[in-house]
Amino acid sequence: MNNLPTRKGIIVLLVMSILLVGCADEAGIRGKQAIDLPPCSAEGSIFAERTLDKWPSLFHLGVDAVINAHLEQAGAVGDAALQCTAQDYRALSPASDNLRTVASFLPLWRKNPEMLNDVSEADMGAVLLEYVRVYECSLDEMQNQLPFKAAEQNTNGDALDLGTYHNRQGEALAMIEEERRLARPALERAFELIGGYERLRPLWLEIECLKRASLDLRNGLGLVAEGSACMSRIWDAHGSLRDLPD
Amino acid sequence: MTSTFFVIGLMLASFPWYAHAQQEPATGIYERAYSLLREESASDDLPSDVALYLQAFAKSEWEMELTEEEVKRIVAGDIAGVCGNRPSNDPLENIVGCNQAAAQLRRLANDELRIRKAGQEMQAIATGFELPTSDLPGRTLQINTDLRGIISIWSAGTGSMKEDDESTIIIRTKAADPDDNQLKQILQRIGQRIGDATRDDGVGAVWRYQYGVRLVDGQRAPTFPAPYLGPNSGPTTERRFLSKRWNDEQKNLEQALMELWTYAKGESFDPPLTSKEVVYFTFPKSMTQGTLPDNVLVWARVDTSGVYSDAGLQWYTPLRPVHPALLPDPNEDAEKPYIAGGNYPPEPITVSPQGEQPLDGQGLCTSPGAKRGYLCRPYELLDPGDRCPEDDKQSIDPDAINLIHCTKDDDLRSTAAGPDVCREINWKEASFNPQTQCRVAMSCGNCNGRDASATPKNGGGNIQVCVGGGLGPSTYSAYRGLVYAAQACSKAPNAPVAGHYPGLTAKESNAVCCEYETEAYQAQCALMARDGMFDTNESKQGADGIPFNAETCAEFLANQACKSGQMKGCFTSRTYSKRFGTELVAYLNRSNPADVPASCNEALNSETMDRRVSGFEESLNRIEYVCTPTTVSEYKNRIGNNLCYIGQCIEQSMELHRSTPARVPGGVQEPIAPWDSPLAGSPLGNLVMNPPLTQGYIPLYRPQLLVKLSDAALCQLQGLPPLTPPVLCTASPSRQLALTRTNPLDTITGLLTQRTQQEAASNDVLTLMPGVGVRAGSALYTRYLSDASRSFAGILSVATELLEEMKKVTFPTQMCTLQ
Repeated sequence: MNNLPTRKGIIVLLVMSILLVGCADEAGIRGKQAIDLPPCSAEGSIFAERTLDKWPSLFHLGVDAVINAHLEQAGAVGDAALQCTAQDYRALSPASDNLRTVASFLPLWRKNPEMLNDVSEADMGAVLLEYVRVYECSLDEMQNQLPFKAAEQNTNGDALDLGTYHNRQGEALAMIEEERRLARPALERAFELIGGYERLRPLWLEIECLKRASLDLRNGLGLVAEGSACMSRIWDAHGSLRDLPD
Repeated sequence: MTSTFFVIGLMLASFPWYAHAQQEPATGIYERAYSLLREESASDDLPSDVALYLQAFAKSEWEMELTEEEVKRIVAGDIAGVCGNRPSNDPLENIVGCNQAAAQLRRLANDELRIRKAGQEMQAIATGFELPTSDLPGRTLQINTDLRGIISIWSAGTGSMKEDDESTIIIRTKAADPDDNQLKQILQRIGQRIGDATRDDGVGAVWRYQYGVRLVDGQRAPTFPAPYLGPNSGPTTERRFLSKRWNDEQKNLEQALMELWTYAKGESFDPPLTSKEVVYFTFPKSMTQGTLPDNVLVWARVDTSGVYSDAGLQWYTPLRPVHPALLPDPNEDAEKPYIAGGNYPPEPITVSPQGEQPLDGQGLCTSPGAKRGYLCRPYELLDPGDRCPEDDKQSIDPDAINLIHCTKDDDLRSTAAGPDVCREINWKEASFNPQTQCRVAMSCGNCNGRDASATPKNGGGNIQVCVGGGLGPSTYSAYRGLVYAAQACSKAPNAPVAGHYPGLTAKESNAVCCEYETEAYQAQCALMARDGMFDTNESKQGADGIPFNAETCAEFLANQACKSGQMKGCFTSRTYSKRFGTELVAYLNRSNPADVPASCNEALNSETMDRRVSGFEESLNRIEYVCTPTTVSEYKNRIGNNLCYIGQCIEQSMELHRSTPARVPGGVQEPIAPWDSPLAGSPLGNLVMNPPLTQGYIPLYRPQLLVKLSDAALCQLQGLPPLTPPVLCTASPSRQLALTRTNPLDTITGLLTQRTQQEAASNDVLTLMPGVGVRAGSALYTRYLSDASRSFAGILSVATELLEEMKKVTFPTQMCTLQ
């Protein structure tokens, strides 16, 4: 029983590392220049600009929107403008608006406009993992600052009684603990669910490109077929000695 | 800073998911996973069926009455709180007894919760793999459906795929009218009767009817019999939700689903359904939202035969498995009020005339799309011994599960003049045309004193081939009879053919006779020569100093055939005596080195018939000279169909070409002059090989082997051989007792502590196992993809080559004239 979280953690780490290796490499995080991850803090992120009660919906609906857009894009791959001659898959799939928005919430992409411009749907894993990291860091930071924040939130100017103060702090603490317990596993579970699709995605994009090439091939072969109808006339060279008398 | 806020504000304003974060709950894959995790992690929300199970268990085992609230407190760890307040008449009022019982209940609860959590983990993993390949309309991911598009561009045939008698193709979906009140009411009834799809009963209902209510009810038998139920699937077993029927008066879900199917069946289709079509109904989300539980979709399917027609339920994203039932069906008389575990179900098999057949994938294979998958049909083996694993029934590896079973290698079929590229494909739309096609029937008979003959083609395109005897084994005569038929086949009905010269003068008859008989006897004698009939010393010696060989055989026999009546015979390169003819015929009659069927009955019996004769006959029945001037062919514009047309034009050119005036080759690429004997060398080009195909390989799946290896590793860590069960390896007293220690206390301490030490090592193994499992799974997947991608690369390479070749062609600017 006690081993379960650890074992699950290892599975997820492996899956994540596969996603990250694939995505990070493609995202240009590697290969260009070493970029330091921002410190473990809410500073510079969207969370620093919102009150704690807005964080859970901001995070969960954000992740949901990014994953939905990712899958929607996959469903509409037939209508997408694919660059089938691209050297990598990043060029095949530009980032959805939702993914770009979430990336812009995070210090890493906020401070590197070039990376933000360059973000692709292939970076989804990297962006969401950074999102959850920043979220967890923000929650930890908030937990440490709760005594002060709980007092600060007394907005109506009245004196804060001790009971209200404790209640407010208790509610916030419960929420932080629940989010710390659920946010990452939920994201990992979602990655598990779309893992099959992610594995097949490169193949799928190739197939879409092949489909388009196939249409060209089909039309070309239609012309060849029409041309081949002349073959019997070219080769059926009856000679006078061979022909039967009329 | 202001500008930053402005930019963010602008961005936020344009994204609804953020702007309405508080108002609209999302229902995507992530949101569903998150909700499920919240539910799992809520410690104070013990599932009610687990609580009821614990109550029933306590009552049955110890006569201990517990409320649901008390059970929840026990599971939460408040044993003292519950046991301290027991009434004095409680059988377990002794605090120690209560404590022990409560501790056991807590363990049971934790075990059940762990099983549920593990089940959901495994379900998530399975869903991750299977969802992208699902073919159910309405789900998020449909790679399968998209693959069909490409297949339909490439494949030859008149349907969307290559068709056979058994396959049915989904080619249509129909969106239900969202304003249809009757349909809305049906969906509402279905929604009400599923109930709460987050509880075992509701979850069980969705899984139970995933392949359709008619299937469950046996209405699609015998093609698709009702799902197999083992003896351990009854209403008092832990598998009871897999066999339950939701058809009682209060909750008649089956009736509601049948209403949906009846509704779908009554719909009209434009154009009307053909026998090869299946229509899937799709229901807009606006209809199902609020009526059906979240994450549940309903489907209906209709075809003309009714074999595939059904209606059922499915998950958008399967997240919840069917948990083992903890309580028996309340309507059944059970031995105990709770279910105390169960046995593994028996191996699902069925006995058919072919022997025992596994039933895995049975439900899946009742869907027209999935039916074409490798789990549901034999895997065609092209490269025996290399690509296909051993037969699953005769598996030499007991740990392996073969996901496929293979058929034997198919014979390469060829016509008399090379292969027919589209032999097994109905690639054209047109029906039988007696002007350009024929139907050949063979029979034994007198044949007007000849050993083989054929009638001219009649108005219906029919040709009768008669096979007699007296000129060697009848197989060769039958072959020549088919050559006559082929000659007639390419002509218009009632045109003169060998032996039938209506309206022709003697000279004309003689010319036609020589043309056709020479070709026919050349084919027969060449076949004899290939079988080694003329390789003997006797044949080399011949008669009158002339050897018996394909050339002299054909020349003499054709000449003889055209010497009847007023016909004077054909040109021969030498003069043949009567004695030569007599001895040749006698030699042919006593010679049969290839042991081909000799009597007419054997030669024409489908079971003993020579493959070349049967192949020739088959090809004649399918042959159509599409490239003959004035012939119009209609087919769907697909790569395969275009290639069929091109291929048949090439074949026709090769088979009937007259590239040099006055010179007619007897067969494909045969020499055009008699002295240019093909028998001197290998007749190249007579057999065009199929292009090499790279088959995908489904690797063996060896879960049992992996488990054995991990068990062995566990025991190795303890320095022990593999033991069963492996838990024996975690505590072996012999290891400590075998050590000679000066102080016996050390031995006792060793015995006490060794379990802890070994547990630490075991935990390491257990911790590593999921990682190893992921690696093993990935290796399996990589191995499959590496082979599958080779096929893909092969297709791409062919496509590239074709495109390259096409670049070299200068296409005419106008169509070739028909005349």
